[in-house]
Order: sequence, then C-alpha cells, then structure tokens
Amino acid sequence: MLMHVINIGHDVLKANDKIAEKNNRLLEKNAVLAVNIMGAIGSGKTTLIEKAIIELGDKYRIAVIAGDVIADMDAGRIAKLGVTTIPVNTGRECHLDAKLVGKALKSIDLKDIDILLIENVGNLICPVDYKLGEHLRVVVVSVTEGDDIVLKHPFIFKSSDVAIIHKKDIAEAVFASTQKMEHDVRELNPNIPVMTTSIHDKTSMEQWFSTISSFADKLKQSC
Amino acid sequence: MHEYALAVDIIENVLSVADQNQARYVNSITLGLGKLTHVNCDQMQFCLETLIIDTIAREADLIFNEIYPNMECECGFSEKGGYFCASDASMNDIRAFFDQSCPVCGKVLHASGGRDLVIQSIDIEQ
Repeated sequence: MLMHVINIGHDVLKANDKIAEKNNRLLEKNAVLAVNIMGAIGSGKTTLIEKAIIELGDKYRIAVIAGDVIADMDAGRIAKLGVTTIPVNTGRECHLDAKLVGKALKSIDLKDIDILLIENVGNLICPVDYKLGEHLRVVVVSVTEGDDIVLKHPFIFKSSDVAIIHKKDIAEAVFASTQKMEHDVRELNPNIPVMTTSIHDKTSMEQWFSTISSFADKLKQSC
Repeated sequence: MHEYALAVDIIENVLSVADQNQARYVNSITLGLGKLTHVNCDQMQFCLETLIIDTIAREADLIFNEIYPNMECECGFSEKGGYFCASDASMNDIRAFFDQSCPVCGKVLHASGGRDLVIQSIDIEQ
C-alpha cells in the first residue's frame, strides 16, 4: 500500500476568471462593449435594458444575454424589441458565470454587434465572485428594496464601475431616502459614478444612456 | 450561495487527479479558502461530504486552510490580513478587511489576494 500527497493547486474560482479573460479578448477583437448588469430581483434591470435598446438602438447594434434561473420571460420581453437575445438558464445557480456567457457568445454574430448587454440573475451576492469578460459592471438597486440595501451588500458596490439607484419616483411611498443610498455607495466606493434614476425622469434616463454610449465610443476608438 | 457548484468542480477535479494516479482511496482533501470569497465554509463542507458518498474519497478528511488577504498601503506598509481581525469572532467576516487605516500613515488599506478557492493537495492510497 502506497500513500502519497499530490499537490494540485487548482483554483476553482480562477478557472472562471481565465474563461472570462478569453471572453473579453473575443469581445475586444470585435470591438463589442460588454456590460454586466447586476441587481436584485425586481430592481429594474430588464426595464433599464429595454429603455437603453429603444434609445440607443438606432445608433448602435445591440445584443442581449438574459440570465435567469429557470424561465425566459426577460428574454421574451427584450426580444420583442427586435434585438438578438440569448436566454441563458443557469438551472440551480444564482449567477451567470464566464462559461455560460462564453457559450452564449457563440450564438451571437459579434461582427454585427457594438454593445452586448448582459442581464445577470437577480442577486446582489453571488455575481460578485464571477467575472464574465465584461468591460463595465453596473449594479442596480431600487428604493423598494429598502434604503439600507447598499450597506447590506458592500462587495457588489466595491466591485462595480457604475451604480444605479432606481425607481426614485416612489422613494417617498416606501419610506426610502435616495440621498442615504447615494451617500452609502459613495462611502463604499468613492471612485464610481452613482445615478439616481426613474423611467419617468428623462434627464436621469439620459445619464444611463450616455454612460453606455460613451463607453461604447471609447472602446471603438481604442480598438 | 454557489457552494454546491463549486463543490462539484472540486470533487470532479479531485477524482480525476486521483484516477490519474491510480488511487484506491483518497484519504484527505486540503482546500485553501480565501477570506474575501463569498464561500461559506460550513456549507462547502456539507456539499463536499454529500458529494463524496459513493466515491473513493468517501472516507476523506476535509481540511480547510483560510487564506487571508494582504493588507497593503501606498506608503509601503504590508501586513497579513489576520492581523486586523478582532479577537471578537463576530467581526471576523469580510468587513474586517474594509476601511482599515494604515497604522503607519493613516490612509485606507487595500486588501490584496484572499479571493482564492484552491484545491491545495490530496492524500491518496494506491
């Protein structure tokens, strides 16, 4: 009987990062801006994506990867707007990972795309550990989740590039302070832009659209 | 959170390495768990214990090593993250590595590393 120790050194989370880097290289090669949109269930991710498609669809060629645990309602909503939409069901998983996104990228003709919007599964915890190959990480929370939602999920705000505090028009009805939420984000991550938005406030929505378009333009110039 | 999927990856990898080395049994599996991942150690242990039933690793000891981030400052200060953990266990979560001030210059420290979930080694019987 022989016993011995085998050193492995295989990092399960870094394995995802490597696939994410591969996705990123593929996206860059085709000058496609990828935006990972993360947020809780019901925070308004799908609506923000729909609005962005309607506003930016004339100028940019957009495709969407819509992640859900089981179901394709979101993908159905988005596909109605006439853009390429790939539904990705994670099964029992609470987040998209680089492998799932890599597989979805195979069914998109990246040469014909300028912007890829990736709607992550509704969750503020798990997506933090999983890079997808995106250029821009956007976290969306809404006032209906309670104005302490930001402090309860610090890591997602620390690892995002843009934060959106959504549904500001109903803040009063749910006793939430958007000022507190904005302040909490700035405390956690002073380096990222924070937008307080509502689909009924055109100026705030324009901020969202111009964030996407400015990053897409920047990527096009650098590629 | 995603402990189950990660545990599946770990066990698949362990069994494949064990197989390549003609193992009859796996006696132990040693994992390194970064303090800054969102992986819950107890849940991970439960998932692994469930997954090794009916495999050659069914008797394996599961050993977890915590991996602390390094807390670094622009001024050159660097110290293992464990140094900043309170003796009070209630604060020994991820927040212990936030907003720590540099003991030398007072600036906010940056946590580097500690995001690993690594299969460090396995102990097999051939």
